[in-house]
Amino acid sequence: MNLTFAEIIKTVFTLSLVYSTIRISISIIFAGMGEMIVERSGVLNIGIEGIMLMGAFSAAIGSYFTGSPWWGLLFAVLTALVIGLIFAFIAITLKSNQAITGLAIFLLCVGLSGFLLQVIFAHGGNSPMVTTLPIIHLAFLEKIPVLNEIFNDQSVLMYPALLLPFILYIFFYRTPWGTWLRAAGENPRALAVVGVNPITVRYLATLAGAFFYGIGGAYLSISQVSLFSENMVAGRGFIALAAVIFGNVTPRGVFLACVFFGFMDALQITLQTAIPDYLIAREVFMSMPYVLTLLILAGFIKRSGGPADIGNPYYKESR
Amino acid sequence: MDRIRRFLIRQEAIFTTFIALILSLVVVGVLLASTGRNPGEAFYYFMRGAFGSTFNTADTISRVIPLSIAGVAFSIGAKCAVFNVGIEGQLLLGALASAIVGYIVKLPAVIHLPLMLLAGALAGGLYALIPAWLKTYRRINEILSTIMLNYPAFFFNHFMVAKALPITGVVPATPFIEDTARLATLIPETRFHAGVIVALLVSVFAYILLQHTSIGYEMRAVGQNQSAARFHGIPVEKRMILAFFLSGAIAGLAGAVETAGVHYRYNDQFSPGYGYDSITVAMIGLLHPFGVIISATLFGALKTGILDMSVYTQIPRQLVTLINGIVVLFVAAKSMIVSGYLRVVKGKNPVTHEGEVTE
Amino acid sequence: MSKILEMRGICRRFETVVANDNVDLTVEKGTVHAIIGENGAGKTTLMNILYGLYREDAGEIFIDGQQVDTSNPSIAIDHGIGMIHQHFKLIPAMTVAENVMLGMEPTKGRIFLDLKQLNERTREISQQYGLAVEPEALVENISVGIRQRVEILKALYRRANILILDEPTALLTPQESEDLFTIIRRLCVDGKTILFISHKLKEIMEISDRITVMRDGKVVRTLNKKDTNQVELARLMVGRDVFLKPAPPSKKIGEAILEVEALSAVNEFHRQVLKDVSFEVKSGEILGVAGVDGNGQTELVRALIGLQPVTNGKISLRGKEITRLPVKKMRDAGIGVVPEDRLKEGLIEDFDVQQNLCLGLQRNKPFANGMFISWDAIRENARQLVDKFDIRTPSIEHPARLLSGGNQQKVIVAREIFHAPDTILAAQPTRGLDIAATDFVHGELIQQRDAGKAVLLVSLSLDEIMLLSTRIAVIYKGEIVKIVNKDETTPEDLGLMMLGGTYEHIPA
Repeated sequence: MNLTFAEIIKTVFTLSLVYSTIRISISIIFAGMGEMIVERSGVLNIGIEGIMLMGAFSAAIGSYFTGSPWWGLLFAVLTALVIGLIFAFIAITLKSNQAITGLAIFLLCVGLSGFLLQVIFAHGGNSPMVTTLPIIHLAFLEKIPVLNEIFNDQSVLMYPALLLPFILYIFFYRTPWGTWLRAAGENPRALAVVGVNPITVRYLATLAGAFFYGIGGAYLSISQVSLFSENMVAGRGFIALAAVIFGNVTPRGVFLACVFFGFMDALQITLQTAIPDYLIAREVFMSMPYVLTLLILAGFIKRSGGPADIGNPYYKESR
Repeated sequence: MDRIRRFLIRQEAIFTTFIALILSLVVVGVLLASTGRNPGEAFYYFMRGAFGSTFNTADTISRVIPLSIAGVAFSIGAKCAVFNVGIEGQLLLGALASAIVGYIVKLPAVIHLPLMLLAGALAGGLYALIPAWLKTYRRINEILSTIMLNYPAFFFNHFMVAKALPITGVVPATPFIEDTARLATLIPETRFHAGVIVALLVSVFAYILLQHTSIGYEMRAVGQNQSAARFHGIPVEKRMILAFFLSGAIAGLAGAVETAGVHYRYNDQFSPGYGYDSITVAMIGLLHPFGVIISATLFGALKTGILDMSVYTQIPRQLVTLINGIVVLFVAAKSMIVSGYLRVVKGKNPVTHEGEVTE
Repeated sequence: MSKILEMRGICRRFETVVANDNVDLTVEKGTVHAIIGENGAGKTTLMNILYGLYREDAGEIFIDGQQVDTSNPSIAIDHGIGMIHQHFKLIPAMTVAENVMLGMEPTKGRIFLDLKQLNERTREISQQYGLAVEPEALVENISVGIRQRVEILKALYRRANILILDEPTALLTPQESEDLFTIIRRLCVDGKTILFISHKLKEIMEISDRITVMRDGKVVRTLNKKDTNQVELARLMVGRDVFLKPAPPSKKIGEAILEVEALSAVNEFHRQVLKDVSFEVKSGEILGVAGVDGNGQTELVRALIGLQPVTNGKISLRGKEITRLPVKKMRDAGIGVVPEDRLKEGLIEDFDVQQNLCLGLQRNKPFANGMFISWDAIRENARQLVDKFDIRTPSIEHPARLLSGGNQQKVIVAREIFHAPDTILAAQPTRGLDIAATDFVHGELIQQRDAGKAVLLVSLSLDEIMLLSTRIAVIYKGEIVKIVNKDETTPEDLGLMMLGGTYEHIPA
């Protein structure tokens, strides 16, 4: 079993890898884009992971009980919005420490999902299999060589995921509300003196973020796989956080960062099969996303270009 | 009347935490009732399960031990403004390291046991230096970095027991540790082990460190007001790194104690999630080494009682994690409780100072 | 000429202090109306009320004869009031045009920004008022003077007829100030009314038509520019009944303890905050540093304890150089500091009184015993200090957060004074304190002076400086303008120097 380096490269770096990259990135993209909106408005939501988990759970429940994944998706979004609202209330209105509040939300969601899983299905661990979102097969793509392998037979959610960065780019830089959002994150007082309430803007941004976290989580349980299992988000929420930092809180940057992290995940899965366990243990690859994320972050000494006012509660009466 | 009022104000933290707990229990009770379960019945079985017999009580205490130690681990960090959410990973590494030291040599108990505990602590402490460096020299938020580092720790441990070390049994595990490395069982036929002494010592150590040493004073100062600390010459970064190390080391020690007292080896299904529970335990214990003991007792009781409760009622064990989550949320929202509390106790707007003049 | 603005009987208090006490203000259309006064006189509060950022407790506002209730900025803007704050409310990462039109952007189909219109309308309005700006430039790349123009355009775009300028020349170069005045004159010709808030007497005399002087929340006098001069204005601004007793003269002045030579420092934005600062403080004297906020005093104090990086120069204590030592060493060398911001730097709010009374000394004897803290020593120290300095607290275990401002300051003063061997730096030591607490602090400083310590007093209150100092140094834009003996100067002279006024006639 003497695999040469070249052979390993050939088995690993195939179009199939690109396909997997996209497939795996979808969830991270939604989460990352959501957090980007939130952070641009000046709020830091560490609870992404938790809300994604509840999104995954709600989607599975919805799909299981109605038989339709679309209801599941809707349910996921609603759940996420409710939790997002709780976070917004505690962090923005009560002005509690945003990091601690985010952590609390994360713990709450872990507990809630585990508990409800037991209550509803009378056994822990996993839900039963559920109906998933449709895979889209485009006939015309069959004729186009490279694109067919990459984009065909992907989940229906791939399309919004790929469109999201463009839409958000336009939103941020070509609409008044995008301008106000960015202003809320840079200098909320500047917004206040022209009569726009930065608190409202931050609330809406947080809810928008939750909306996307919910979809990102739902994708996991009703598309990437077809059930909910405890802790299935496996740190993707935190990786999305890192992607937002790495991508400098811009639509293009965060999108690329999310895809990059998705690539690392896809790569480590592929490497596990390509390189036998006795050469390099699988666990090394499984750790890769997390370790590399931190290494990459460590390489960025200063956050350049991020919103100036992030993490600070907005106090009305201060000048 | 006035003295009672002053007392209530001084101990505001304890009372508002208590209120947060009560509120959480109310929410849980409502949740239970809404899913068709009877909260009162649940409570009865819960109490019986936790303290109903010697065996049960011993069982409760055996859970309290790691919760208490891990809770102190989080508290020491948090007191110095370091939120070490990586307790889980450090605990796992500590458990493994101590298990290895436990079976790989055989030494007189007087050396072996402390050595394996030390190994556990070192493993945890050193692992915590990674996020420490990331925070002080790269300004990376430690909540992010410590959570991220939990995963590689878990994978590493899995790799070790499943592949690197000699496999014993169906579930990958290390070989059993030698007798000389074990913590004695204090009440026969139960799980009540000498780790309880370690837990007490850890709390005492933390208390003495924080309250009775200059370094502890400085750590607490950094935790409360970094600017003022720096202004008065306290080396903020050094103290934070120390806090990280101690936090990780104590977390590792928690893992080691579990290995030495309960399992006698490290196996793949080691952690019942003490890592995140420790945060709740610490917050309810108000980050105080002795408060944590009380809080850990509550939680340990919760975990043990739940078992009986879930057998006799239809309530799932995961209720614990749910309660965990709700409590943390209420604690995070404490400011709301605090201002309400102060308003009631003080009888007026809680933010007036005489002699204070503003622009 | 018509009255475009009338404010009658405006009252506003914050907690125990009256920021505006029955203030009347009448402004004629098309004029430049200046409002002057010291820090804390109430001018900015008044303007914030007008602009809707604060609500008045009592009083009425009439704009063009019509009563208006400005409860938020939108209402003020609707009635033609625009405010250009001292600290600009701009978004550096956005363009000029985006900033000018923030909140009122032109759109295509109500969804998309009409970028073309955005830039063109900005250009139009800039040309209309002669305020040259580049619409597509990022605010972070343009100079302070041009940023100010953006702020003005913002107000003009919202059809402001009354423009409030709060300390507009604080951050401008002399040339930029001149440009601003040209703009102001042109705006008045166009029928706009300007409310000009400032300290700087020279500029007031140049640009304004009418001047309202405020002091302690009240209006002292309103007069026409042509009927007055800088000296009279300074006197109106600064002169007040003295409640507090002046310090008795120094008993014995000894050698220099603190020596500062050619100290220079640059802040994180590469602005020179200290330039060639030299002075000495002798044993038995109080050197008062007078100046308007933001002229380098904060940085000076921070440099003296080691928190501000120094680019040049030397600090010595009893002959030994201490420049660039770590903070703890500088303090151990013999400096005690009462910081500007007592809650942020002087105290740890959540610690109790006794622990605050040894902050900074936790590694020194007698508080430290090897590695350990001696609670006995802490308690004993606390009891002594509470007693000696009459700190009002229910117990020494009371959290510092719950003490009154005055008592919090007493804790800081007590601690620093009691343990500082040689030199005391007091930065705004009586800020926010009432008369009794102020009197106490002054008494302590004088006592320390008489005990042979060197005291450096930095204060924004000229009164305080005059009461306590043996000698006075005036700081302006990071440089020491002059050092004089207290007896050889007057508040007016000092006021002039502090405010950038001409001072050639003052003997060296």
